[in-house]
Amino acid sequence: MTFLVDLVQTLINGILQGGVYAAAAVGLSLIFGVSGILNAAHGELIMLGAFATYWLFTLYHVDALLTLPISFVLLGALGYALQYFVLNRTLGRPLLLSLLVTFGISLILVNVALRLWSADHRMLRIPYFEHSLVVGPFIIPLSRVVACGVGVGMVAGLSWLLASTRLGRMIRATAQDWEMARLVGVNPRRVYAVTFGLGAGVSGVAGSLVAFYTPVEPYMGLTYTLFAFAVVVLGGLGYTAGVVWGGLALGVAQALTETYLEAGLSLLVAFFLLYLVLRFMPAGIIGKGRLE
Amino acid sequence: MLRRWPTSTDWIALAVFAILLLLPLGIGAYPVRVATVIFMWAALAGSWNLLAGYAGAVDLGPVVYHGLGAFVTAALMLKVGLPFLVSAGLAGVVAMAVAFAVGTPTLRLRGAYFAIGTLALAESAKQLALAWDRLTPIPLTGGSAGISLPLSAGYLVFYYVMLALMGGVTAAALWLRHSKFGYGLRAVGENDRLAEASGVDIHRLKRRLYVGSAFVIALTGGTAGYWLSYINAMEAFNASVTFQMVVMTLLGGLGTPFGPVLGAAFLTLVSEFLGTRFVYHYLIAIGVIIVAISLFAPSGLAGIADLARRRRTQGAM
Amino acid sequence: MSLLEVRGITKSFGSLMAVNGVDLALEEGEILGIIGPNGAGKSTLFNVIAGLERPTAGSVTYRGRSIAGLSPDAVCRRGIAKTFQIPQLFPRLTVAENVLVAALYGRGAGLHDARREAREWLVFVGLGEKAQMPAETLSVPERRRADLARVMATGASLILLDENMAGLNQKEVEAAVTLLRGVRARGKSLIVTEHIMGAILGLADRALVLNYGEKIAEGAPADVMRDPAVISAYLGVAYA
Repeated sequence: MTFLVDLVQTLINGILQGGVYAAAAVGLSLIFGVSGILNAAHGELIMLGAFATYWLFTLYHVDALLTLPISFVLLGALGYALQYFVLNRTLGRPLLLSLLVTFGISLILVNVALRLWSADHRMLRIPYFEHSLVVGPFIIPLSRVVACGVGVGMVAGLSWLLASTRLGRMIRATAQDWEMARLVGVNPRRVYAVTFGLGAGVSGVAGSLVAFYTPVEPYMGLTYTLFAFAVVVLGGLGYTAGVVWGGLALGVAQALTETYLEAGLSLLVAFFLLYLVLRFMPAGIIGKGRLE
Repeated sequence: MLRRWPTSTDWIALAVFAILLLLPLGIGAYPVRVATVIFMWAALAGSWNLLAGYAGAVDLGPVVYHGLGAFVTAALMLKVGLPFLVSAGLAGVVAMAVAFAVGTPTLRLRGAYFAIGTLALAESAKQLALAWDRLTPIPLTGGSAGISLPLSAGYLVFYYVMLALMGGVTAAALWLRHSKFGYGLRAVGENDRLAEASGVDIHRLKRRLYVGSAFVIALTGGTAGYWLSYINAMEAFNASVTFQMVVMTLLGGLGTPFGPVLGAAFLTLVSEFLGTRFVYHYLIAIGVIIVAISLFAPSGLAGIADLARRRRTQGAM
Repeated sequence: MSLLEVRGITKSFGSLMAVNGVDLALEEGEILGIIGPNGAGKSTLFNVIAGLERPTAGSVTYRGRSIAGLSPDAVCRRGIAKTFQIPQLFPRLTVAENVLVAALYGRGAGLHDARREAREWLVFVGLGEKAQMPAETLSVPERRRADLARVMATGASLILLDENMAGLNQKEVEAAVTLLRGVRARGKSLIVTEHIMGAILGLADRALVLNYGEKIAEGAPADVMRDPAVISAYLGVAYA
């Protein structure tokens, strides 16, 4: 009986984390799908969002949930600027170039953060998140529920924006054929910048959500970049809605590893899973990804 | 057709190599140590340059063989009692076997998938190495504490080993410019589908290169480990090793035989003079340099040198 | 025994059947023309023969040995080479080096011989002076010729030409036809797909017509073009 309880608790943990992973990855997926840029600085956008929430809450006593839209705006602006002034110059050039440029950007962001805030790990203490929901034998921390809910909500919101709004149509048109899009009056440079801004904003909020329950430090980005890659590949490269599946798969795989193997191996499992999917199911676990 | 090889550049390279062979006689211990570090990075960056610059395959996981070389060398020296050079050589062979096994499935990936896949593998390897002693009965990696090696007698052996590795890789890069294997690799790098349609077995060619690089990379790992008398999984398998290889190659000139050497020398010297005192500033500066070079001077330092040489010959005409 | 025997080749992409049960045979030294409207499956058929696609069903036999399912490089080394509809190159290698790669790996020649071969084929297609230029500087018609030189340098006996004359004007078409006759004179066999009827009439010994992935006519080019089924495929039933 306890086996069943442990299993379900593990699955709950995994699903909740998976929702956050989906939010952490959807920005990467959107940017790659639209402009073909593989953003090596993705994790740093998450890290900056986390720090934004930390400082807003700690220094200015902004309500934790209110920091989310602020994080979105701050990181969104940063993302727009990065694409418009820097990354737009990498368009049409080989993959390695955008990878290297974004890697350079990540170096800059990490070390600016280190310079400003040192390498100390900082943990947020938010009073109303100190509670956990208790449902039968299962313990569900409130912070994680909120994080998952907001995360999934963002993914849904982004999908809606892409599918049903004018902006979304412009983005999709540019993604499919930017020359055609130009002919019908769309400015691809602006669209790419807006896309990156959206992706960065969402990633920033994901970072803020993560700050609710994990330590915040300048080096946290790399792991999230890798997780985001894993989620995107698992869900299908270029298929934005797939991040939900990818996030779920990763979250559950990690939770299972932590419960039944040991916590230190969760990264190993995540990366090996990523490798296996890349090699044997490159279109993702539900097969809707774009193949090279 | 002209008999192309060896060219005048090759003779200059040979002359420089001869000078480097004799260098330790004339300079002190500290410059020799700095030179050794440069040679190591030149060898590492040079191997990365072959797969990425010639064959167009961006490998983000070569550090695996660096770590593998370090730990296998240590194991052979400590547990089996073999001398350093033999251990390192054997570690290289082990790395080649692993590279063959890993390369066979992995090299079928292309573009972004290959980059992410190799990175994923490297991070998995790091986690595995960190957890190895806990999971298996064979104590091999010392977990996060690492392993100490016996102190080495002098520093010259490392100078010459790294010089040999750098020389070997650079010679290979020079030879590849005008050899059948080289043309095949460059064809793969320029347009792999077309290469395939022209009879090139792209998978086998890439794998051969991959396995060969693994040998060199493993040797740098084993040698560096013995030199520092200490290795740990976190550093030996760290992605920052890969990133430095990439940045040095890019700075120096991707796809050129001497680019990696120039990049390694430049970055090592800069970090020697700035690194320890202004770590964060230095890294921020490196980040800016990477962005600037990628966008505005993608041929790197070698490209600039090339440009200068061409301007001079044009001016003379 | 024919040089190339294709039996019952079918290729589906999901629910789309690009090629459906096509048979053809080619004798040594023959020039076969394949015509058909856009989307008829000509390129897909070529891709299957050249190893770029795996057939869903059917067999391809070259010189008596099955080649279906072989990788493109293996097919090339066996002796079948294909040009590209949109000419491909190794952009930063020189034109000579572009052809050199094919001679080294397709034919398996040593470096010295391969260099000589590359030069000869470039002269044959009229690009001798451009040998040392970077390939990316070539114009589109020049790229087509470079592609042909490349394919010749592989040492292939069977050459598949995928709309090699698209976009050429009348004079250029005539020059191309003369060139290809010269290729056959060197002992090669050709399968040529084209939209341009004039080219096929002037060049091919036999013609085969595809429509919606199926063979609808085969025979002497002039006869095939008068075939009502063929005319209705191109122009609609009213013209048959």
